[in-house]
Amino acid sequence: MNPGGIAFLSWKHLSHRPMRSLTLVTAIALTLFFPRALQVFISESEDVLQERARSTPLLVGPKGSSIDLTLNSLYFTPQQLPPLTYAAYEKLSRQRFGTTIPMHSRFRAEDAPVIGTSLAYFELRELMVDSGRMITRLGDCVIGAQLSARKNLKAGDTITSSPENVFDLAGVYPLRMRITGVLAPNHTADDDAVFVDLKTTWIIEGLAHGHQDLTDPGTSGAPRESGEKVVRANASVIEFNEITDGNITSFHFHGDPGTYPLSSAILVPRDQKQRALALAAYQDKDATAQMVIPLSAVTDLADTLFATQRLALAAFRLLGVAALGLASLVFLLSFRLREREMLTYAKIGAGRILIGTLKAVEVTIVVISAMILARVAVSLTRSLATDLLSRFLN
Amino acid sequence: MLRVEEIEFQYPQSDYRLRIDRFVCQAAQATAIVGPSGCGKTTFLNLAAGILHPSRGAVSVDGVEISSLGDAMGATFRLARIGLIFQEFELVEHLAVRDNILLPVHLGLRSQRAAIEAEAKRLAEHTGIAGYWRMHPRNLSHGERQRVAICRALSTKPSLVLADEPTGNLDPLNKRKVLDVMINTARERGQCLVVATHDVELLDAFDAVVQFEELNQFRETATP
Repeated sequence: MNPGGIAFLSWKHLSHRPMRSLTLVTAIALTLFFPRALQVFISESEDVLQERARSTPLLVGPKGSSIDLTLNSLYFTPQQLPPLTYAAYEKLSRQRFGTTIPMHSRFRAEDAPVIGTSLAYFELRELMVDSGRMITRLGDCVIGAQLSARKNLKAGDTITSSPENVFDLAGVYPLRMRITGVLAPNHTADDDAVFVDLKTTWIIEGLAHGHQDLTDPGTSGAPRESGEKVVRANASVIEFNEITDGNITSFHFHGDPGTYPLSSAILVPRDQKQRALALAAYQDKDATAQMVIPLSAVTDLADTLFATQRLALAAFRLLGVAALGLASLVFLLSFRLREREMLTYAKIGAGRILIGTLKAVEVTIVVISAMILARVAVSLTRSLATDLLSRFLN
Repeated sequence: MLRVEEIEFQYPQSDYRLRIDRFVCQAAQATAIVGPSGCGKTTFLNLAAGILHPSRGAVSVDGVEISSLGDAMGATFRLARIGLIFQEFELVEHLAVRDNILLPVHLGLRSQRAAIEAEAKRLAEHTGIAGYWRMHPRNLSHGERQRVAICRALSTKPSLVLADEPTGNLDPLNKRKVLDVMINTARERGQCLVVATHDVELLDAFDAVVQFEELNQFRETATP
């Protein structure tokens, strides 16, 4: 027997009909890939979710789904819950359980979430500025490394927040923000986010604004009615959509700050005792806010994922059996069509074992190619799991 | 040398029977077996090659009784010692001319690759198919395909060459040319050449001509 010759003959037949061979390899590879990829993706997702959850001790947010609150605060998924009031946040801060970090994630810019927070967030996540500098005033922002690379943005450029609704003329106005720095990557959702001071998000929300000086007699649209102390501006007064050193002093807030919205607040307790006290403080059923342990929420989510995984695996197994059955049928039919060729080999001088080996080698080449392809695809899935997870969550 | 002695053969569920008391083809001898289509010439060649096994009697090639060899041993013997030219050429469509001719190498004669390849090239030159070395059989005419089949059978320098209508698809000029190559090669190398044919114009080239109907003792039986 000539193993090289047998492999050569098998390869020649497979390469003679490349589309058929490729289809077979792909079908078997997908059969192998899907269940394994699902396991890898869920396992990696669980690790990624848990890692970020562990670094976020406690979360305070409006009552509702703890998973939604956790995903919104950790992965900046679109907000599904009503806002937490700034008064509730201040109350939490006053209780002195530990460091409180505000989170506001309602808005987006260039398809990336705009996160209004405080400098404590950067310390919690160990986020360092890679180029440029940290935010220093209203309207400044720092962006994640991935967003910087994706949109080719760097310190000194500007980024504009997206209006929530094109036709909502009275709603949120876009604010052009100055990028002061790009953060070093930390391979989390932070890499694809825009970070601003909390007050900047309130400006985007329309709770604060800046406009021309109405006391200046030269300002159009701001007529001082004779004898009146009140200045009434009309629609021709120009509102600023960008905060500059020249106009920053004109920005001012309206309304009761206690009603200003937040998405959530992160609480980093000083010690175990403060943690227990904080948790106890939010046990009250009448409380308007809830306190969530992100790790518990993520574990609940993982349990749901595992249940889904079991269901999906069962479906994939059934599909796999069907696909393998189909592949076997293709092989059997192919060998039947090649009976004459095999008979020629036998007449020339190939024994039954050699012909059997020839068929087995062909099947083996296809199966091994499929296994290699599936393996590569699973490795790719493993390396892309974090990114895929972020995409699914957003 | 091919020696056939007192063999009997019958296809399962068929009335056709073949019985040959004695047939001998010496080394360096070219023997033609003639007879009408369907008289059993192909069956006889398959028995001589060890592809079919007689129910009794013996077929020997170079003193080795191939009719008693098992599947694996018989196949190995056939690969090394017997060259076969089939009526339908039996070329492998997905292999190039080169690989069709070198099929015995791929199937087991790896150690003789260089010698077989050199011989294959020489034969391809002689039969006029050297230019088709990398082409596939589907791109060749019937005559060219037949010449590829002849090159495949002869390139291993077998001691016995069994050919079933090897010139059936060739024009008169090429018939003579190809047959001369086969007969001269057989004589030069001391090969035993047995050709089944009904081409009477070419019989003068053979050392011996056997009427198959005289060979088969069951002349009165139906055709297979």
